[in-house]
Amino acid sequence: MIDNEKVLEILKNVIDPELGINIVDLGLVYGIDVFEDQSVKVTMTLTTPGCPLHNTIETAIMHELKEATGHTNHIVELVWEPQWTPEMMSQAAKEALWGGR
Amino acid sequence: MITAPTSADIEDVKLPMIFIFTGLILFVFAQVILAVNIGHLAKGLPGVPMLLSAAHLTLLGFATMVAMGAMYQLVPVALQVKLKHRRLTYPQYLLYAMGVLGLSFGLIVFNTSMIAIFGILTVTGVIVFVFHMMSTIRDAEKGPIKSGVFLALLFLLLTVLLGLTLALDFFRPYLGSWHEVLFHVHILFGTIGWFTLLIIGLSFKLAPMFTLSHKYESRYGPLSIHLIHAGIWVTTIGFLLKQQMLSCTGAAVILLGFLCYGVQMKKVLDNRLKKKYDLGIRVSLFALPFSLVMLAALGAMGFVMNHAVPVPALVYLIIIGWVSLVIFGYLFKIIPFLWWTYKYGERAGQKGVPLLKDMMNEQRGKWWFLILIGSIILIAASLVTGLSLLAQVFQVLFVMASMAYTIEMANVLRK
Repeated sequence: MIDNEKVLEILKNVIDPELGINIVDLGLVYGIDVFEDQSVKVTMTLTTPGCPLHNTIETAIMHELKEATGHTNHIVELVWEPQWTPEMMSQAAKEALWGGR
Repeated sequence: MITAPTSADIEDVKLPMIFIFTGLILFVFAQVILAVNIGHLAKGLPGVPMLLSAAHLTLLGFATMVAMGAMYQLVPVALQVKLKHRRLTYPQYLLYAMGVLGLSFGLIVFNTSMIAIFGILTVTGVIVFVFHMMSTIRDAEKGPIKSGVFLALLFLLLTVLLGLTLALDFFRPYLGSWHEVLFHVHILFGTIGWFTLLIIGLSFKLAPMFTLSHKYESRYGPLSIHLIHAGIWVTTIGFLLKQQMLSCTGAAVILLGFLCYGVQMKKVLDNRLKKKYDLGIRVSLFALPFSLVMLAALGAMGFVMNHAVPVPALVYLIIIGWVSLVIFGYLFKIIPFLWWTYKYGERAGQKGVPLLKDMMNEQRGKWWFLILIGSIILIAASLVTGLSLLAQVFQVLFVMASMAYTIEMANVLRK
């Protein structure tokens, strides 16, 4: 059985290919909903509107969720509001990019 | 529900690649022609047919070809619109490629019929492209990216129409002394209007995206576009009225526009979150200060030595030191990025799948860029001093570095 916390841990395996940092530490995950049938809805954004890697990241999320739940009945919803800002990153992400700037 | 890349997305990657690799191969050919004929350029004779062919292969066969392919990919990303007439893309490529090849060969043998016919074909290919892009960007949000791209497309159209006018004059002379005047306007529209405004417009999206820069002051961006645009027209009027003061004023306004762009890029970099950004982006951003410093230094050197502005060397610097170097820089980033997305995007993060940074060897890339940039400096200096043999030696070095760069890019597709 998975819950929001477990899904968050799973999403830490999804790495932004350009930045080399997971999407949770990047602050891209806005919301997680786990339904009774163990299907998951992830609400997320990207660092740049129109980012060409959005398909790649979404595919990776679906892959990780499928590995964890055994099925593909999940949704990734891409939103642009609120707009992503660097303050949403974790300290670990900031340090990985620039030593804590 | 968001799905894995569709066949249309995968097709998206093949399209720019065809344009890009055609462009890179034609660049090498152009540089070989230049290597054989650079002596004429060193003697201040840029109008020799072989040099015209090399220039057109570089500007149309390489720079515009690559720009077209890149725009099919980048404009939808940068302006968040979809291509309006996808079915036009491959026919447009064929039309344009045939036109450019025929035109370049026509210039080599200086067959005026060929120049006229393939010139018309080239212009047709450009018109189809401009129509497609203008339709695509029409509904995009207003801003400096859209302005830059729109103006660039307008100047592309004007450049090729002027080029056709000049080509037809070779076929059936009718312009008289206006030929030289329009030739200067043609170069100005092409190098500054089309290439520079396009590079500047798209870099307002690419530079912040690849350096992860946010919350920077952005007023210098639109200002740079307006200044360069205004400067182009002032310079053009100066050319047409044969008023040197006016054309120099226009050039000064264009220079101011370049400086504003430099300030804007500095603000983007100062606010970046990614400390170490990729080699390709570093090179493409370096191209502007590099070209401006070289233009000033060599311009002054030529004036001191010969009491004249070394126009062939300066035009060489603008075409190779600015336009081509920027493109080489961005391609070093874009080609691995596109290829990785196409080949591994669906399996990202799984065992055995290469990382994006594994697609390109930056250490080796540094050497290629150092040799390319070093060659450009030495070639330009040789042109100013009129040392043909030295210019030729360094141009051969540049040819070899360009071939190595092209092979390096092609090797990405084997990963």
